[in-house]
Amino acid sequence: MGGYDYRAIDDFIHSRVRLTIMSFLAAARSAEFTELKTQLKVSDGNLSTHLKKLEEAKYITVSKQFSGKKPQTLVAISEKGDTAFQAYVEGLGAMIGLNKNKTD
Amino acid sequence: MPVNIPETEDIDTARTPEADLALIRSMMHVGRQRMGVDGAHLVIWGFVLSCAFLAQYFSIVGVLPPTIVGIWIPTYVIGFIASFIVGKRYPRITVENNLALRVYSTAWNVSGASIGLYFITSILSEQFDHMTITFLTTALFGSAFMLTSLVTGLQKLRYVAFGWWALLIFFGIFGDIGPEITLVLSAASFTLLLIPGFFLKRMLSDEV
Repeated sequence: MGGYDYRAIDDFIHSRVRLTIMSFLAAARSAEFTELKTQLKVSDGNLSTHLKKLEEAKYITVSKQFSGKKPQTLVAISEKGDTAFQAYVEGLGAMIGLNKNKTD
Repeated sequence: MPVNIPETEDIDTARTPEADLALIRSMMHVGRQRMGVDGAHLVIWGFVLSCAFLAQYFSIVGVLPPTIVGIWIPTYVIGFIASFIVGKRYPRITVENNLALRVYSTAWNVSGASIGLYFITSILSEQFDHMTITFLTTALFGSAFMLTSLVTGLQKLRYVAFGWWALLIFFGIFGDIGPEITLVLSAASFTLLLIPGFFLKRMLSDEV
């Protein structure tokens, strides 16, 4: 088991909560706020904080919409987020000596 | 399968790349299951359409009795029953919460309904034209794959869309090439529905 080379990691993604969000979104592409909360088992406030950081980095987009009369917050991974996530995964692979990682 | 995440900021806690890759792998698996692109429906329809077009070819050349309805009604029934059974095996996904799923499921439903509607109405009115349904199928399947690619970010599906559109252009240029048109469509169903379906199914269980 290797340790982390902290010079080579993206701090915006490296937080465990944000890494989990990005991993989920990289595959699901978009998710509703409450679904993310259920999947991650985190509080509203905690999830909001982490989403805000990812939004600041432009890794995700957050939009409000209505499903009938019910307001919804939709979170989607951006192209920049996709690229950053791929780079992050490749970085992890490189740290443990993997030459090739498949995420698609 | 939800995961337990500590509420604290955890950049400095003891973590390893191996453990994080395992976390990424499991979350991506959950995400892909959630997305609902399981590929099973494409495998089913690719298989039944491929067989049906092949049967149609043998019907045209006289090896099987001359029939359209006798081939296509059982094809639709088998396809829908198999899709229904496979669909029950996968977790229900809330379409209203998932824009991507909403877009591409609508695209596929519209494609299937349009082709089915044309088939039924044209048979009933005795106006069936095999070139019309060929243009309709190649155009709609290409569009559905392109939309699926765009909303899911699965880039490789664009090539499948280009494949269907290439066939559309081919038939647009060369027109009715005779009974062999059904052989081309049989091969297309195999390579541009069944194989992408297998690709998607494999992707669902792929490791990071």
